[in-house]
Amino acid sequence: MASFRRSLFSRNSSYNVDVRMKTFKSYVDNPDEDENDEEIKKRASSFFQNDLNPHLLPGEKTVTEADSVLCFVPFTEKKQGISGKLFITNFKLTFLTGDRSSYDQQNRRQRNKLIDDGDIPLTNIESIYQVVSGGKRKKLLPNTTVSTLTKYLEIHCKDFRTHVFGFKFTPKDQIKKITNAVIHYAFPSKSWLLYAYEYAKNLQPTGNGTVSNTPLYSNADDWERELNRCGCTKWNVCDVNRGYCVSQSMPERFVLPMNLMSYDELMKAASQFNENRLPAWCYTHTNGASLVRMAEMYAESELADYVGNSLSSEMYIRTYCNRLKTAIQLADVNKGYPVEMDLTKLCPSLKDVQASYERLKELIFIDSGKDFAVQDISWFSSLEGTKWLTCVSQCLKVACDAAKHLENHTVIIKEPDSRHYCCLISSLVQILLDRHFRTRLGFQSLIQREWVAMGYPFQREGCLVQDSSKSNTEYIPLFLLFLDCVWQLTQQYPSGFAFSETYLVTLWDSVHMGIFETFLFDCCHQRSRYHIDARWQQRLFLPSTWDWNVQFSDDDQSFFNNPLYVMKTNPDVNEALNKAKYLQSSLRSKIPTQELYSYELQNLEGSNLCIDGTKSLKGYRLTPLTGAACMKLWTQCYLRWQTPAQIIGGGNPSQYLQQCVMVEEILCLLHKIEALKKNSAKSANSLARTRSDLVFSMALDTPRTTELLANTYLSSSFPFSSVQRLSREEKSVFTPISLFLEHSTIDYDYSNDDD
Amino acid sequence: KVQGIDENVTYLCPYNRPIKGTLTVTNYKLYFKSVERESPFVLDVPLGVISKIEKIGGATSRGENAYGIDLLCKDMRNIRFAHRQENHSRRQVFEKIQQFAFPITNKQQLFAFEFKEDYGIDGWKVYNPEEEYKRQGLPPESWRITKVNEKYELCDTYPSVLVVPASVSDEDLKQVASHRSRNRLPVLSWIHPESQATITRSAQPLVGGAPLRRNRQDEHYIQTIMDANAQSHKLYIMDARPLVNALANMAKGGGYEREEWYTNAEIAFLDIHNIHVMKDSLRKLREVVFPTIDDSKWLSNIEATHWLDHIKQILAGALRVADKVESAKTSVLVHCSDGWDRTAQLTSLASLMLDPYYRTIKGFEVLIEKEWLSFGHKFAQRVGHGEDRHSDTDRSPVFLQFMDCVWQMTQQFPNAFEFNEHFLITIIDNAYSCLFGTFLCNCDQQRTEKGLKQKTVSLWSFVNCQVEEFTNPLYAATLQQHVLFPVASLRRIELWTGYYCRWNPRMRPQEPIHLRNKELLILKAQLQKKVDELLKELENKKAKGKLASQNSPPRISSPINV
Repeated sequence: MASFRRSLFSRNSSYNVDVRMKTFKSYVDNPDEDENDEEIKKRASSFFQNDLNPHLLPGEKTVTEADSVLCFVPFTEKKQGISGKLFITNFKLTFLTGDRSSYDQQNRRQRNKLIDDGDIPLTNIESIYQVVSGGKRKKLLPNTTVSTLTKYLEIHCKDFRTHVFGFKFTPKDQIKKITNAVIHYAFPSKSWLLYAYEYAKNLQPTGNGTVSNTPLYSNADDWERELNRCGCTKWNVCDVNRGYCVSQSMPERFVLPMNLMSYDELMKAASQFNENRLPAWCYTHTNGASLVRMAEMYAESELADYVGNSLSSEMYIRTYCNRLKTAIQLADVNKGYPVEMDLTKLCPSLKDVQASYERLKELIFIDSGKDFAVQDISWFSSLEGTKWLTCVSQCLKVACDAAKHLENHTVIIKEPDSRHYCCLISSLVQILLDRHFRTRLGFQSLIQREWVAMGYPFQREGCLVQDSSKSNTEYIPLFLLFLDCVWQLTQQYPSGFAFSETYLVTLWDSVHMGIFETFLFDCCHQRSRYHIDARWQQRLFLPSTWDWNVQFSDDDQSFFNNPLYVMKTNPDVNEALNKAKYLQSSLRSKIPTQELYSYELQNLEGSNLCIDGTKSLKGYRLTPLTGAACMKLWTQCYLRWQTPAQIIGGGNPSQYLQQCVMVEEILCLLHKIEALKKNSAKSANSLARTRSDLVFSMALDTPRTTELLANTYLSSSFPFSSVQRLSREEKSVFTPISLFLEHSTIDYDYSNDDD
Repeated sequence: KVQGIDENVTYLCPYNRPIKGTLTVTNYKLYFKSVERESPFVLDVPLGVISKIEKIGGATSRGENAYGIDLLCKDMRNIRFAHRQENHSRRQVFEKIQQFAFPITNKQQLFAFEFKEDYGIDGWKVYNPEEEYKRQGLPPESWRITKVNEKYELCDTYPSVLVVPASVSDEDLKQVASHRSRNRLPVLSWIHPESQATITRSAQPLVGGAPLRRNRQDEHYIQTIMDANAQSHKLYIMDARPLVNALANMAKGGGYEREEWYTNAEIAFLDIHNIHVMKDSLRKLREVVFPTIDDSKWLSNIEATHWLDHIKQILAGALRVADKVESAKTSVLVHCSDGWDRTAQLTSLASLMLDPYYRTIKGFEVLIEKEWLSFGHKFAQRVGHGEDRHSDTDRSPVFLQFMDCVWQMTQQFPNAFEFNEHFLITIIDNAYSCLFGTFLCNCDQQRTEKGLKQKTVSLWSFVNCQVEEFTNPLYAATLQQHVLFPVASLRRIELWTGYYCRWNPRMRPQEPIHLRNKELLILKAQLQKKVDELLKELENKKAKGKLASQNSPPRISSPINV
């Protein structure tokens, strides 16, 4: 079995240099074309040439390099690999090989404009393991130096990929140098040591305005607009925190109940809350009830320390707090008493999530076929043992409960600092309640508002800076937990979200890119300070993650869109769908199940199940199943690099692409009908077809797209790691993406032939 | 035909409050309808699915709903009704169910013989062995169709039409058959259209005893099978059993091919366990999935049943067969002990991986008819049609396991199969229902004797008259015309909740994706129709215009006459 799987190994520049060079080459070019000797000679000479230089971004500098490093192909038990040079720059770890043929330009996974396939941004490195001769394996900790000679270096990345480098043929002095450089640069001890700083300084300030239209919530307008969108009249934007004078971890502007108190009084009230974090508005439901996030108030004894021992002043301040609460209550049109949800009690503790993530990583970070097989035996119990899915289910459940409460009451979610679960739960609740947040723009603005602006400590929790003075150096994957929750929702509501799972995975990867202002900082205050270069008194600029063009071409961005959503929301399609009465009736009468075993349960006790599945889509609130048994493992995210688990020619991507084809065909037909109708009325055929944002709308009119589709092979890890065809014999198994179009009825004529 | 009615019964639904209503028993099914007028609750169960019927509580039982009957079903559920002690209705219901659920035990006929529905299509014509072998493209120089088993004299559990190496005479076949358990000699199951590597199937060789028995004809025969494939000088013999089981069989006269006698053959053991292990595993699975699910231990509970381990093992075995045939171009002989359980699983799954034809609705029907029905998978015994012998050790979910493997493949390759999940479930349900003749009896000989083709309706009649119900909207016929190698790892194998947990409303998807996909397909068809209509209209108009311009003389001459 093992030998068989190995024969189907996927790419990631996976081939054996010595043996496979020719084979490999033969598929990059035309497999049936024999190479002439000269060609081979030329290639061989290019193979040994040593003037390799990494591609550098602005402000990026090479720190050190090592020659004759082996980069192993995953799951080959370190038996296959390529020889090349390993570089460390202040931005990334990069492996380059002299074999030009490995830079195959076509058969690429999702192409990132900033990094190449062999590049590992330093911020993406989660942990580093050193194996010395003798086989002893040791985790390399931040702020340490190594004196032993490294045999293998295992790099575990936050995107769940493992890279293994071997130094058998590397000069000894280089080994030590590179090992220590990795530790030093992967775990900087001060935030100004992050590459982003250099990047920003050296970035040409070309049109440094926001290119994306995602609101950043750094100005009052963005908040105003969101309030208006919600139809919220009882709350308003306040700038009590201007200059971060009240709370350093909150944004300068946020939303409070209308006409509350004077700034002076607010400041006094704020002093009662952890980190001076005043309660803040998150969302107002159509019924007028609002979602509010709140930090915990200091216990009485702590408070006494804080304001001095005067009991009267304490009473005085308490009054402000009560007034604050009353104001929140009054801001609810229904004037009901708000429901308070203590997230500390309801959600899994951060420690539990952390431990769970550690166990999950043990399952994911493997690099040997043997381990893979051994793990497989107890896969289910191991997976359950990580408790990761339990955490996901728990969070979803809390969010569902909160969303349900919001139907009648204002809900206050609270936790000690209102910077962790408040972000997660408030975002989930809004996704459940409001379809706006299920669009890409809405989703991005939600993350920007509830996580980025409200001060989720991305830098601290992402361990971007290893401050030796802080004891906590463990990674807290709360944002991943959030994305996983959202993914579960997309699985339960396949047409409910405008974005695909690929989008979610890509977003996760972007968190670790290390150059986006979005995910680099702990709060707005830190972000704004970073943007001003003290020495030069110059404003710096870092791109936002939401400006996807920085990373991806339009082709690649098309994989972010969900075809089923396009179909549901495209007005023309919707109209056609409604018109097709036959469709409606036939679906309803036949789907529930055959008469032979029909078994319909109604009026279920205490559950909000919707039997026909479509009902809840009409309403706004999603009511997902939250039982742990209904939670699935997000395989595209976690298992995409586990080559033995890759389904070649199958998996979710094949369903996704098939849907894309069908939706594209439908749009085409609709256009044809429109054109024909016009045609019969007038005589001119004068309708240009508008492009959808789906992959196959990218047309075969650009040669680059055509090439991309024809040379990308389908696997369950698409588009993150596509399949490498190893030999001609196996070619039958591999499906180039372009094959999806071969027999489709898509018409690529976008041109307006009215001339 | 209604056989009994009880108007005062309570259905004890495991997911809901007890429901009061009327229970009707016919000679085919039991039918329960709640008293509520609006959207009444209905339960409709074919009696064939009942495995065991038990009374619960006695005349002295106290407490609400403690007195009634409990039906243990073959489709993973229990159905429980509570009766009122006063009116003694339970006995009648119990007896009627007993009588009609187990007609064989009661020396009566199965309902399939009374069921006469005309679907307008004759499903019995779906499978014609000679046509199927022709489709596979038998090369006449190396393989031939033989009718030596026409009267089931060579092997009574094999079909009448067999494909054997062309050079072996019918007389020699008898010699070979005598060396194989139950005369099930190696015969062709599938041939690769290009390489001519084959999958053949058989029962174990009768090697065991002291001294060990050797049969030159059998050895020669295996050599001939290998020679029929010019691409390879090797033959793999895949013994589905674990090695220990094969050895244990040796003591009982069976065994496996010894490599020193069968030169150029390589034997491998695929470690698939026997029917008793599988049955026990499913019993455990049933406890985990029905009626309620323990959320906190869901995954480890599933693991403890080992059901998915077995699924993985079977898939991995079939994968090995398919890989040898496809990648190594080497022929494979598959057998287990008798060659009608594990062998059927392996050959049919390997065929499914290798041949896209079997992934169509029609092709899958042919596959079941060929590999399962004609080659004598003992459906009557494994399912226990109409027999009141719940604990019969011959019962085992071998076929269900195969269908589960197929479902796993459809999950891994969402656009490679023409049929959908509903198709698979319909087949499984009707393997139990005894409504159609398709899955009755143990082998072709029995079916011919009973005249099933004449006296009963085929399941395929029912299916094929409404194919669109069973069509996978994502099926991309042109895209997946190649070999499928599913991943046989538990990371990619999941519990088929749509089947095993289908009675549990809490496990149903909120927005079933197949509905969305189906919408796409229907919408596309509708729009295509519309386009065609418009095009036609346009053409008509043009034609008319032309016609008009031809018929009517130019206006200048006589404008009035137009």
